[in-house]
Amino acid sequence: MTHNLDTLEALKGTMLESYSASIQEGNIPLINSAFCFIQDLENWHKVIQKNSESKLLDLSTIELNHGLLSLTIGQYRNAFKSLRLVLELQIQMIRLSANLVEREQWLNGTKDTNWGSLMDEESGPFSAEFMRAFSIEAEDSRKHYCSLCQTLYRELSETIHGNIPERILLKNSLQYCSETFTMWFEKMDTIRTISAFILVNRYLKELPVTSLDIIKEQTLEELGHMENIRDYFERNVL
Amino acid sequence: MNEFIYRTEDLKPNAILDLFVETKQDSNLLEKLSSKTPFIIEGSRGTGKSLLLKVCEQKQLESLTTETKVLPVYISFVRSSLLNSADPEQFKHWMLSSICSRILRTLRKNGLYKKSLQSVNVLSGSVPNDTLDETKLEKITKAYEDTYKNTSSSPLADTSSIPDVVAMKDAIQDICEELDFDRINILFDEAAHIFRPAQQRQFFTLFRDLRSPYITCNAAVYPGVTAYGETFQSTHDGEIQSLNRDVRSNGYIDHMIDIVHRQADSTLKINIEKNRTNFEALALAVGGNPRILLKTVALAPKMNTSQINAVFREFYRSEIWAEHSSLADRYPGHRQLIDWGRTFIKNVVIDDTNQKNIVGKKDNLNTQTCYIWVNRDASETVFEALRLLSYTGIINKMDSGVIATKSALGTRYSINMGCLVANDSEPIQLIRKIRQGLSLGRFTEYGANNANFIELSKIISDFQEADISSILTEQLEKSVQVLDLSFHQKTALDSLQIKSIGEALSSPESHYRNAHYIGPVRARKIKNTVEAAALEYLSG
Repeated sequence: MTHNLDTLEALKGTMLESYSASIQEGNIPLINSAFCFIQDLENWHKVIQKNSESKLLDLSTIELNHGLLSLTIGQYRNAFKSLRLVLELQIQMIRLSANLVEREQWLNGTKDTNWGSLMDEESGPFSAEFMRAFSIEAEDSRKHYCSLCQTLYRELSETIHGNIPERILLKNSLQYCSETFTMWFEKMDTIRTISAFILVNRYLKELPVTSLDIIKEQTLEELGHMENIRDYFERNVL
Repeated sequence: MNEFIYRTEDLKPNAILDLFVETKQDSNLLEKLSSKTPFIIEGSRGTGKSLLLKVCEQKQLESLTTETKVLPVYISFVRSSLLNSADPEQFKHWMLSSICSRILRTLRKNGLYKKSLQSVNVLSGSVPNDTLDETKLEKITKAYEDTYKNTSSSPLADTSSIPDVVAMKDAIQDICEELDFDRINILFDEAAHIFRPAQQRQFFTLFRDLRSPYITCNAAVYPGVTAYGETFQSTHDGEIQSLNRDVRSNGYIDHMIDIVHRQADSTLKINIEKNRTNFEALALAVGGNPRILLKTVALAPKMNTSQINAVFREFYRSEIWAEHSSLADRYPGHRQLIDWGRTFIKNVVIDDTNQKNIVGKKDNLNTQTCYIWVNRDASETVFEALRLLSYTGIINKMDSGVIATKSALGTRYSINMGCLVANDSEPIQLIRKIRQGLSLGRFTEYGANNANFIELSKIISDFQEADISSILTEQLEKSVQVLDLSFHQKTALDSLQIKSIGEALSSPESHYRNAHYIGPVRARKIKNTVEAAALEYLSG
């Protein structure tokens, strides 16, 4: 028993070393960017909390927090797994927002997420029909964002099954690795942009002006390069 | 980091369809490649001809047992650059033995090979066996391809077992009847060397002679290929169509994004999405050439303005021209033509076009252009120089029979837009402006008696076909640094002490395993990539 506890103590020691390295001064901007993303999601939660599917956004935010913690203590595989779940939960939320029966089934635990249905070109949240129903003319971008999601999900999935991933450097210890640490934030940034895209295209038209105000700045930061979004805010927010 | 595959030879067969992005134009071309009518695709380097042939092959193989009964046989003649024997008919003999070998190999790979097939001994050159040993004709093919090593000691191959065209056609008919095929669809890639008109003539003669109810021939050629031989007539013996992707078409940018997306990781995809304007500038600059697109995207993975500007500065001001000029190093007999073409476009055409665009901006319609027109009565030498420019993608032949001033007829070309804007201080903005106002009807005209053309006639009265043997020897001695390989690949060659192109071709796979961290699978991959690059270099 003492030997086992010693092993755990040693691991804890490595994690604490990792933590110290992770929060060094040079990494603070990166860590701050994660908290900015968390704030973005909390703002979105504020404006759609009346919708029951917003629970998934809540879960996604918690998972992002956990992923960040895993990252700082050297639990890199878990950190990337969390990112995958963050992505999955948000896209699932968008899908369920338009499928009330499935939504209730998911919330009461009788239906699971199916990635294939999320990426379905005919009926998924990135399909032309779905976008036309809710969005502010995202036709040009939807296919590219769909392709982006698929690629990102595939990259993150490489960390799930235990084999050696091609794109993400994962060492077999809990020691701090600068390359992997930075890469997590790269992937997180990508999810942040995807998140902005899917939330905007699903909910923007429904939001009252007061809500638009809450999410305007963060949206323009991520999607300000899209003319239709800039125009929408210009027309609708004082 | 993305390491793009931009040469079809580097793709495994099962990866071909994953990377292929089909447009309506591609669908039409594929339909023609699959049909009974002979078809020739013409296109500059890197435009996707090989990929189209390979896609046709894969699709026909997929439907072989279910729908159609057409056996596709893909065959590349890129190794024709290596032929260096004393046999005056080496190319014809090599072609025939290659085709026979390739058909047999295709039958084997698809589980259709039967030793009992009557015709197998014709296509193998001897009595067939059950083993996977090389057939006699495969050995002959290889013997010809090895003649680049040393002419003097290369014995002439025994050509008595190579069937003539009639025997080959009969053998193929027998195979089709026995295996219940409608026909064999032969897809010739790298069909004719751009600088070897004699080979071009022989190829097209064979292309025509092979035609039968049981054989369809299709080919991919470069724009510089013009010698179709005495018997081949394009109106009767094969439809010729150019593989051009028009920057003005509606889905052009999306198509270019899709091409990159097939190989990009998520970081590059998001960079493209967030810097769409910059990507569009790159996409317009490449003029529909997927290989140049992937190369320039690889140079600018962040897609930010400074990286894009660097691409215009370095790639479109220098590298693309260096590639064109390097043709002259390989084929000194064409140097004057190549140099004249470079000077004409760089110093005359680009300036004239930019001037025209400045004037165009001031008029109410804001029309812009990247097109020129050359009178059909200009000398053949001028058109030969322009064909060489088309080969490297600096210009693109669009259409002939275009009416210009005073009802004169001529040929219209488009200039690579990247080259057009490269000297501007803000190439991204300029290229977008040109695209917005692009008008096909607006072009700079160059009449038959243009001063620059007369200048060319003074320099060159006619040019002669190169002495192939001495050129090949010289090229094989060149450093591997001239090859189109990545920095890492060149470093690996350096570590293996592989210095020259000849050494790169003749080094066995086992030698590649000597490099650090190179196992057997990667050794084969690197060897194949290096070989493809070397053959591409030798083929011009």
